Amino acid sequence: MSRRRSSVGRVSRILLGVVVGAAIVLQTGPVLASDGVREIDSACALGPGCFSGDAPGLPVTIDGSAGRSYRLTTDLTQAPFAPSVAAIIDITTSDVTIDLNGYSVASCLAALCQNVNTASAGILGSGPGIAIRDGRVTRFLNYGIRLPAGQALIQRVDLDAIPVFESILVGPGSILEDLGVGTTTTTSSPAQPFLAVAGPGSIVRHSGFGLGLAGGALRVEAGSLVLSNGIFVPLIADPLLPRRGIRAEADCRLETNRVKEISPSIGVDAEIGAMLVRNVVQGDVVVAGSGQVQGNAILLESGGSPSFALTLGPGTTYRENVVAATLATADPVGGSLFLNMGENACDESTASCP
Amino acid sequence: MRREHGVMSVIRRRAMSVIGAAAWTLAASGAHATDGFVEINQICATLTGCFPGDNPGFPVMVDGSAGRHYRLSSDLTVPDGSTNGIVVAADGIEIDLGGFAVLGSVDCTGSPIVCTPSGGTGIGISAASASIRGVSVHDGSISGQGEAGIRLGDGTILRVLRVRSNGGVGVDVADGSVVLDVVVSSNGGGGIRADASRVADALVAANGGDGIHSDFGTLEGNQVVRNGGVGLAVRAAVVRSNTIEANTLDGVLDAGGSLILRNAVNGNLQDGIETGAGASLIGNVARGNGGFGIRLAAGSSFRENTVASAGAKTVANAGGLDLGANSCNGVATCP
Repeated sequence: MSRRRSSVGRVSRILLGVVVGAAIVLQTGPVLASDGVREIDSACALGPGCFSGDAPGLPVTIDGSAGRSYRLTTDLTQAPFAPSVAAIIDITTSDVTIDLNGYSVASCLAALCQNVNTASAGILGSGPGIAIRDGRVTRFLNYGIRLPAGQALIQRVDLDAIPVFESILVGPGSILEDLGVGTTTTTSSPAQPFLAVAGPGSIVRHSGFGLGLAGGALRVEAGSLVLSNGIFVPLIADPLLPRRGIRAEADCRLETNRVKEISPSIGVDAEIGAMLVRNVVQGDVVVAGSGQVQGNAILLESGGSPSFALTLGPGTTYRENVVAATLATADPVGGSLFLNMGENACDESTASCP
Repeated sequence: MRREHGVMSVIRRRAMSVIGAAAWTLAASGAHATDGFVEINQICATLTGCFPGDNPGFPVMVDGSAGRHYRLSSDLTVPDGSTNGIVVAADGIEIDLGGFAVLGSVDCTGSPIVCTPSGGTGIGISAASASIRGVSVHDGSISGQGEAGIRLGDGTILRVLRVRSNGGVGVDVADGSVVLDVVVSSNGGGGIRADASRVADALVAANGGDGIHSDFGTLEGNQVVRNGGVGLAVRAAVVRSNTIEANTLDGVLDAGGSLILRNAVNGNLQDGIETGAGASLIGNVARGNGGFGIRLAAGSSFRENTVASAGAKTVANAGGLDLGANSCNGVATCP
């Protein structure tokens, strides 16, 4: 009887150990966190692939077959002298969330990086509804983050590089929030567009944009909101390429932004129907027409040859602004067929505003 | 021989009980949290139920008996357009989507938007009854549901969500709710319905019906563009610093009593802003709307607005008060 009991117990213990061990192996694979989020690290990204749908090597391809929530657990850096790739991360589906988790997505190390080997883009996405947050995208050749399908949500991401195209481009109906976007270039090329582009009906808020490319720092397409950002466009080597702090297409709203540009750039260049409310602009402002300019502080003090600190197109109204032009060649306010609605101060005198 | 047979029978029974227990652990272990959150995943949702009160199969029923805080640890894929994803049957529940998605089979595309398959009754996240209140949902996406993305009761808090391509309304919450930092787009019905609530910093675009519908609410800092109905349909609301553009009907349709302050209302196919009685319009821009830039009812007032329209269709004033500093088509007086 005792021999029977001991053999049964021994077999049971063996079985239990096998099953528990299998459970541990199945549940704690290298790319699945305990909260179910798929983890991406350098070893799997440069090696065998991180999950289903991701082939060995870069890019890390996210097609949704492994889920829609991902998190970096190391920096992702392209290996030196590796074959050129379209992107470090390529998202081919919609509604994906990528938590960069404080890590960087970068092309190869600068000292070992040849253009032909550089990753073309940091993060590419072809579907709508992509969210990216909390990290850094750097040293990319063409694009930092490119999400043309829009409806994206990008939060707390720093981007810096010397790209050929935009550091960040998002399609219609996207939100960019708490970004830091800059470059280290001191020259410009006619082929270079804006540092950041947001599609129609987007929101860009609480972000910083520095230096800018040939087009300028930030371009927002029709009907967008630009709220509480800092934009800096310093002097460039080629004075024949006017750049813009903010280029706003039709019917955009710009509120409580801080723009500093050094001429011959334009601080704010807004198309028809713009609302400019409580911005501080060291530079000049152009509003095409049928807009409203209220409560802004505009100071034109650097070189170049703008005619006015504030240029207003037909049907635009302005009220409660402080406008000053310290350039001998410029007047505070000018344009055509605009309306002074009162309480403006031009060159320290309310009487001198046209 | 009989003794060996008996031994094997015992071994077999014990083995099955061990394996069965382990299988349960494997399947339902997503529901056991390490930080106080109860986990929900596709495996437990479909096979075993995720926690007490939840049976196998959709919807995942959250009745609060397993706790107040829940987190997804995988996407949830709802089997068809008439099945709910998650149903909340207790007050004060928090659902962290963890970056994951509640997915369905409906796809909404085109302009005007068309959702296929149509006629579904499923909702991504909903309340078991209208009395359920105080539910919060954040950080993820809901798409492809048959009827609605989210439908919850009083005191709902929604943050950092994408609600897209659902057959009916995107978000429908009851009084006293807060909706922040959401992208609600391409839903077959309206974008957001939120009475007596605050909707801020949202992007509401390309939905088949109204962009945002809110009686007695506060709507601030939103982008409301290219919706198939009215951009903002309001009553006795505070409507401030929004961009309302290119909607198929009016940009802002107020049934009366709203404060409409510093909005950009452009390119809507009918009136830019149409008010009921007792509305106040201050500091708005209304440009290029298909009807009048401003249509003002008796008992309303407007000041400091800039209106530009083709021809003479700037302001239609049915007895409202012009309090001054308005401009119409570049002239410092308005009709």
